[in-house]
Amino acid sequence: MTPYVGDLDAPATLQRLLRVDGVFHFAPPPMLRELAAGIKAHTLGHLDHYLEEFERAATANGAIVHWASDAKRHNELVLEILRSRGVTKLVKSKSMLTEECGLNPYLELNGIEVIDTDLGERIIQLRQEPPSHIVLPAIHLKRGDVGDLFREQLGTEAGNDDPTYLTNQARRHLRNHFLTAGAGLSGVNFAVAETGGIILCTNEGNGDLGATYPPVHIACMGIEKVLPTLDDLAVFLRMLARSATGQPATAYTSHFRGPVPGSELHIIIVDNGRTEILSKPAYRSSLQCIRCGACLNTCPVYRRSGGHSYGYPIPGPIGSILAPHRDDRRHKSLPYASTLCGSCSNVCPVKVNLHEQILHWRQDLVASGRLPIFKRLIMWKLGEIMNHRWLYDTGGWLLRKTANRIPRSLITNRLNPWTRGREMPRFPAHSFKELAKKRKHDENE
Amino acid sequence: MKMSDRDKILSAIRQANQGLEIDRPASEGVEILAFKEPLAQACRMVEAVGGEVVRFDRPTGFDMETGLRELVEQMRPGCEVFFAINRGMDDFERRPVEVLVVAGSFLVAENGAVWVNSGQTGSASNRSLLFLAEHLMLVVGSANVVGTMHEACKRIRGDQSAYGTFISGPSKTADIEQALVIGAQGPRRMTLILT
Repeated sequence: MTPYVGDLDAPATLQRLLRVDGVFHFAPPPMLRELAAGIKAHTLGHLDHYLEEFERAATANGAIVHWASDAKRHNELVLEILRSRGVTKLVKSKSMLTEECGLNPYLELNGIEVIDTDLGERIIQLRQEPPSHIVLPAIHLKRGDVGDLFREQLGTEAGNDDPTYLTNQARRHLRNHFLTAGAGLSGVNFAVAETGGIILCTNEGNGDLGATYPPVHIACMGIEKVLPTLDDLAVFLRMLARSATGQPATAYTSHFRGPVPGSELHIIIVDNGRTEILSKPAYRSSLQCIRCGACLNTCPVYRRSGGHSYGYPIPGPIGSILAPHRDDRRHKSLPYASTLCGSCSNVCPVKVNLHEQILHWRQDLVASGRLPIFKRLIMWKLGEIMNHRWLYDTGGWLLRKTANRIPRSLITNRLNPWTRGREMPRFPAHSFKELAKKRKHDENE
Repeated sequence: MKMSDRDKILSAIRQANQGLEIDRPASEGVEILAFKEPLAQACRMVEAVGGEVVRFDRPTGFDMETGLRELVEQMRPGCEVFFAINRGMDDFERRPVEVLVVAGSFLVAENGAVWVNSGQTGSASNRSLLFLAEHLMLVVGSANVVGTMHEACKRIRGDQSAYGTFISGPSKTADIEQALVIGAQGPRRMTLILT
């Protein structure tokens, strides 16, 4: 199956425009964004207090709260819960945290059948590929791709790629899984310390079906998901869907405040590197992210290259900041794949200074020696030249006198990777400085 | 002694936050939307997200429940109906059904959402019926409208139920080429009955 190489410009632009439409329907964004950012910053500053309050309240409601310092422990905890209750089939709704922890492959290796029930997630699960967007996992596929996939795997009509037909087929296929699963697993959009409840914002109904039908509900959350009160929650509930897709609200905004009689609610609080980010002043505000995807939809780089090209479950500007924390050798190129246009920071509902953090990462990567040696050499040399005006001026003058005379074949050839798909521009006769000087001189005469 | 994951995480947080004092932001000046006609706005929003609005004016002499049953029968003749008004969903079988009629607490004008909690639906053991039904009908008193989520969240503060949800229209998805499909995995149709 050939992967669809993502020119996501059209679909991402659509999301971007939908957001603009939605955002301007209510309170002036600057004020609400300011408030949202402020609430998150305050919460992060007292995170231990709010997490403890949340744990107390949730436990009093009858939920069982677990803590996992890393992905490994998180995965083990999920497996323990499932095994101890004899569960062999798990239905799962979308959770970027579980992607980050690699939960699916771990569970499958340990004999648990895992069914991703979010339509987009199910599609990519059947295709055996990772998601390419944090809100719309299958944004890189066309309806024909899904039609072919379903014909092959679900036995749908050949050649029928109508989205309504395909969605209905998926509904039938998935419904039986909900009714026979031993447990349901979900992520958490927000956790409210005041009530000990977790909030799930979804559109399809699979999240709630998976969490309410089976007798066991496991909810996984990063430490940064907690909010102090219901009043704080209101601010975010107004912003999340509008920022993500322009909807005033998701179809379902559910509050789980403890298990219902005859069932269990497990909440797993996960660190997995978040406390480390918290300890870095330059990056700590990235923990304010509510995973709306607005930065992805506006990013010119994401739109042209698609989510898979990032090599990390969370792509786009926020991914480029989070990934190097995870592994700065593997993901060292991500902060460089940015124009630093700042559109991401502009659209972020919680005012994360994304483009500044991307730039900061470049500085950190250079400082820790992650830049490839060739680049380092060039940067050093360029730095020397820029630091000495006479070198810069003379060098420039020489270049202008000679560069245009160099035979093209010497520059544009296989040995020079820069010229693959690029033509060397012609050098001008005079530098800007020379022209400005001349003009001044002419004016004075 | 080995530190538990809980202690590790909490102490790492305290370490990271040492010396920082970040106060709550001031919330005055944040404009709270005030709709001139909250009910009309709510109905507009319900329709905008793919739901239907039906006004039910109680005919004199009939009681609410009988009237509603007749209304539902008119709208969906011959369909199997789980009528969970004045009784909880616990009374019904936990399985897919064509029509489910449930009472909602209040309506939110800014997004057309209806708060449905398990207080009205019994012990909430059968809350999954809200998602197994093909056609969900929510009955709300037309005086029970709030403007924004700020007011809505204040209103649910005293709620002790184990489960509650804001339902805004029927289920939907745009996962296939961003084509909006109404009716994904939850109810395919949603009707708001205003009494």
